[in-house]
Amino acid sequence: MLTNEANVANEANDLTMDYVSSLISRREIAANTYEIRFTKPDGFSYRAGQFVNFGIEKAPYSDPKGMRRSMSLCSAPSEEDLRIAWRGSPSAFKRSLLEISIGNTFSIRGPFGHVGLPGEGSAIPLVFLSGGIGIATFRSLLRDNQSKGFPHGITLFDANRTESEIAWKDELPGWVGEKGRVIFTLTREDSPSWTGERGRIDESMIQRYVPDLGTPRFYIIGVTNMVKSLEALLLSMGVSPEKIVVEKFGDS
Amino acid sequence: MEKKIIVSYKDLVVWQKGMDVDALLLEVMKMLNKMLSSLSEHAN
Repeated sequence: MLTNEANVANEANDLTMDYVSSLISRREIAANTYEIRFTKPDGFSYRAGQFVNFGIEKAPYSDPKGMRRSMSLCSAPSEEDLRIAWRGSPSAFKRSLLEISIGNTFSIRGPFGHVGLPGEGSAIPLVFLSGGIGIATFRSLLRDNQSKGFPHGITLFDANRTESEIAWKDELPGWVGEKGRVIFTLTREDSPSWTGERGRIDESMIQRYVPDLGTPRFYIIGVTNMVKSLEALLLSMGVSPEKIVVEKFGDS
Repeated sequence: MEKKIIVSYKDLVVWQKGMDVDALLLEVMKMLNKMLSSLSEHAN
């Protein structure tokens, strides 16, 4: 049986085609963090963890970088609609996402990306290291893992600057499931009422929750600098490069 | 008989006579997908 990673060739999508989708809803899911749902075009298929080349049509603002971006899908294939989530920024692209009307159309190319869950039959434990809106890709993987009933035990580290910026804070423990665990850590807030971890994800934090570094597969998703530093850290801790999956988020 | 498609400095896809072409294409697609992903910063 093919693993999920090897399943790329089964995707029937024409990668040069513009799939047309339209906005269904938009909501704020954390401070300055938003999620939209939009229609899944006929014939469009993807794997959890993939991203699309996403274009806004009839945008209210003009962006010097154009109105197309690589956007990670935070929905899972089992969900009826497609979803993306993002941090707000002053860019015309992001401001347009916040102002376009329900029904406004998007053009979608893809999907792309190699991030995916181990295939059926694998029970390998997974460690997700998320920084900021990197959690968007993890949402897709968590919902996929849950809907397929995979036996992976998942340890999710979710680092944010402040508690208010934690996206899907209440939902994440349920998505990880009984075999999993969510470790929230705040990097810029020092509230006495906070009961989670404090500071960036580092060696001692990882070792406290993942004593066996040899077995799991590690995923690191967040801004580029965070991904690079955590990847270097895992390698220095003796994790094999083959067991590290990374995905980088950059400026909008 | 053997041909090599150099996809990056580190990665090679090796095709040997008699090898299933679909399997070769699958490997190439996986590698290109991985390269594209590594080049792309997501704007979320």
